[in-house]
Amino acid sequence: MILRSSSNRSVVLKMKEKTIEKKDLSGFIDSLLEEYQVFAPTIAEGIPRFDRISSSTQVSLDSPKLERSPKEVFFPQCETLFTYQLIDGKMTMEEPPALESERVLLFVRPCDVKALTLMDSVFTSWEPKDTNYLDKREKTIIVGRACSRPWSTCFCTSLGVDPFGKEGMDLVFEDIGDKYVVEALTERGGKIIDGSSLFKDAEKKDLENLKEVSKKATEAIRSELDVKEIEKKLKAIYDDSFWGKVSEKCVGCGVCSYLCPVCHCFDVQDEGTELKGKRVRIWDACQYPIFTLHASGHNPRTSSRERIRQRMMHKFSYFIENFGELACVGCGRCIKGCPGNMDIREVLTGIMATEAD
Amino acid sequence: MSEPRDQIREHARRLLDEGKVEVIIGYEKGSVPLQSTPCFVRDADNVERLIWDSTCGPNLAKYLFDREGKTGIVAKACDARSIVVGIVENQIEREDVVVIGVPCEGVIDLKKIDAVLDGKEILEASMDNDKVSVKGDGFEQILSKKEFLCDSCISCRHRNPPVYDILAGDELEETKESDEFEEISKLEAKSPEERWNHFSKELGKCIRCYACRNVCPLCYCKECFVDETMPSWCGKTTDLSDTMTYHIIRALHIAGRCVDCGACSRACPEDIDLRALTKKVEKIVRELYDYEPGLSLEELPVLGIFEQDDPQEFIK
Repeated sequence: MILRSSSNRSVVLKMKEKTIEKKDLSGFIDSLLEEYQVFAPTIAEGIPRFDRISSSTQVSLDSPKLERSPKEVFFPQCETLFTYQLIDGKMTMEEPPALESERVLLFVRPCDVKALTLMDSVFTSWEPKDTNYLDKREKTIIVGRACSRPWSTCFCTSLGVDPFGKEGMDLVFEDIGDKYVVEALTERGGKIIDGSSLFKDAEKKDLENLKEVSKKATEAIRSELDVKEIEKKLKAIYDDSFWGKVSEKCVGCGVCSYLCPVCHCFDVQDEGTELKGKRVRIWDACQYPIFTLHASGHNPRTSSRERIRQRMMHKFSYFIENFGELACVGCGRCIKGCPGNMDIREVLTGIMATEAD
Repeated sequence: MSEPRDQIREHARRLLDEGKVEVIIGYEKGSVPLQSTPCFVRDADNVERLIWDSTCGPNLAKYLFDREGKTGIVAKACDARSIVVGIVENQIEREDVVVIGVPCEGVIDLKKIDAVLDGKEILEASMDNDKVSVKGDGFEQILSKKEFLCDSCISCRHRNPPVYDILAGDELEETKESDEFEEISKLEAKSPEERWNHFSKELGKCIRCYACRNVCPLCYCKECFVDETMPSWCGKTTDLSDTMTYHIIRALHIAGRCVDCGACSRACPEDIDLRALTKKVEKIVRELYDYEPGLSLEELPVLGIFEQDDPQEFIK
């Protein structure tokens, strides 16, 4: 089994590029379903999101909105950590079983795969490793999809994420019109296309097209930000009046955190009675008033000023200290999701422009 | 007469210059086409940031609760009604607020526009009185604004702020084109099983982000019941029993107070039909007490008072 963490990702192979006709894609997906649990972008109740599929017809690649991030495939919003039951005076505790079979997660954007590698740092790079997360991550083959259609709120390139980047993927599909160029990046990625007659060796023309498409996509990203040495800037302006102003319109909901592919904070709750119950972990959000409420009743972050600052410090300072990377991939989901249109690009620009009081 | 936007700017400048208020809370152009964003102006030189158009959806009354100091606020009719509720519930000091009321023809629902564009992203947009022009990569479309208003604006009966200090723009004629409770009547006509399915489907989508609660001016409890931890009053998971408990209790808690501004529906990232609950509760209050909240500073909150002839058939 390959251990996945950002520091020791599986070996990147250099295999010859293949192509698959778009009309053959459903055949490929259906063949995967014979062997694997498959997760792919679908549309459920009007909301595009990654979900387990049972047929290729459920896959939606041209969703009318940017799909939800795939983090819930590895880090579900609610997850049972263990159940307990008192039987004949004896307490029994049971952890949920590990996944029985390998899974394939299809068509994840480069920014979202990058986000998974960042979550790997949190959940698996120090002891104890998070076994719930690790089990799902180790048993999932990641099939990426180059991002040939960025959205207007995307700013990945400013944060070092490439819309045609391949970091963290086992296999990648790159859309060149009527077909995809497919490249296996790891042995596991190669395994799922090996032996399939649907894949042909890529021709020179296909690879030229690919270069063209990739250039166009990168140019289509309109937002450019300069966040060089932002971690130093953040430290310098920690007590600045900037935070009071920038946080004024935040109403303190959890939309930004819940839509974010990197946000990973959670709360642990016990549900049940003294006889029977379960411990669950549930997504949490740093803008909630009780996020840092202590058992004593003291709360170190009493207003949105401290909470917004924490959100930015965590993503653009503490995460760098801990793992050497930013905890934002520039997907822009929080921008469109925020009910008050609080735009993280403007907050970042504001941070960079602020001179300490 | 100048445009409401220019009048708002003029009044804001004067109020700040004369030191009548410390801040003006209004709207400015957002970073995404057809979205505005709340804006806090403290310097008269910055009043040009203020806008007024059909993108001004967020209910700004939210920002008056827990605020100290004299504040000027741009309030469309439903925001003004929320302010009235805040005042009669003793949460806002009348003399601390200068209400710049704006008659409102309704705000647009971006989700409705996105639905007809079928995946095409708006990169530029402009508006006039009744048209919205949207442009993107390889497309340009002109939409009739009326068809893309929020549901709460379509059924709105109070387009003019009932209480204000300054009015920006001309009063509008009130409309009663459609049946305000049409959707609720349709739900009521369904069988209990069908209604259960509707609410299970809608509330089952909830991700517990609390955007609905947090954008609602009337959700001002110091500690919301879902945030109680010692002991926990309501499960925090996305199980249907938990999400339903949350939404039903929230709807009941705003009974006789909700002014149907629609802010909760606009904020919901899952597009949940929240008005099926809140509008039903509004209907019950109307039927029982012939009462509409937020219309008068003289009327006490309907569920905060008792009168001998209050209906009490529900007491069995």
